[in-house]
Amino acid sequence: MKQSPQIDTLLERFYNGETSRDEELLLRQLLSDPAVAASHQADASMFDAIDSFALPPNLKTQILYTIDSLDRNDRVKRLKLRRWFKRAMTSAASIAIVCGIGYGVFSSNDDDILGGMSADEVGRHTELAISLLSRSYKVSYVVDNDLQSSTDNFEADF
Amino acid sequence: MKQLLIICILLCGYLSSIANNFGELCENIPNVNCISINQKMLKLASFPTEASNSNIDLDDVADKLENIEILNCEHKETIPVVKSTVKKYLSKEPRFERTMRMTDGEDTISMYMKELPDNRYEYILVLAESDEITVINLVGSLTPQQLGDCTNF
Repeated sequence: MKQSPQIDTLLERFYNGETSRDEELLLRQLLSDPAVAASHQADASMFDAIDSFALPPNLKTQILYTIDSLDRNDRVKRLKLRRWFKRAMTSAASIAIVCGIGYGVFSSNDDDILGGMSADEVGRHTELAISLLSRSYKVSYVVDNDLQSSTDNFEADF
Repeated sequence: MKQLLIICILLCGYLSSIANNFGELCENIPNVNCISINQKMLKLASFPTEASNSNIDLDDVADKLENIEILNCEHKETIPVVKSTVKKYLSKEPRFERTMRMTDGEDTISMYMKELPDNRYEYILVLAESDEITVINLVGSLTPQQLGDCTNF
């Protein structure tokens, strides 16, 4: 077994966070020696593990994004909702074109009842409308709790 | 153009006083795309089988719906008329309860609801932007809880 006072000193400095980059490289080199003392095997294994662990190249960006997302949680939910609204508007425009901007006509004929729309289109746009309302209702609990049950101070100020 | 706008506002004001539902108001506003999906249409609708936009069991939900209306207006001079009409409708007794309002710059998203007789509910969603306004109106026995459960948002 090989004992090295230099390893002990460097390890102490390393665990205290006092080593320089060059000292850490030297420490790795010393610990990679197969003849390293048994008392340093655990440290050597740790360095091996560190060496084999590759940090994602965009780790910093991901962390910053996560932190930013936490701070902007409301904003993200708003953007999600806006995206759904945009889809609904597109949907509304397409229905209007198909229908000739009109209402479904009641009759015994299915095509007339659907106002010229296909059953698929009616289903798709119904799904969108319900999704929007559902999301908006959930958002109300996230970003606007103070406005719940606000009949007393109601004001349609959009 | 101003005269036309004034006439529109007066006309909508009159119509809003006699109209019973949201759809009747919508169809009288010029430059507005208005779509109505009624109960008969819903019964015949074919709902998407894959969960593309939500986790809704639409066949189940559709049974609880009476009417869906979508109004969209991109005509700048008509937008104030639409806003005025919607505000009047929201103010009719019993008044709607505002459940949510979000602003993002000039954009505002608002949601309103009120309970109707026989355990029915009416929901209105308004997206007002500087150059566009979209309103969605839904009437049915779908409770707020059931509405919220429709998605995993």
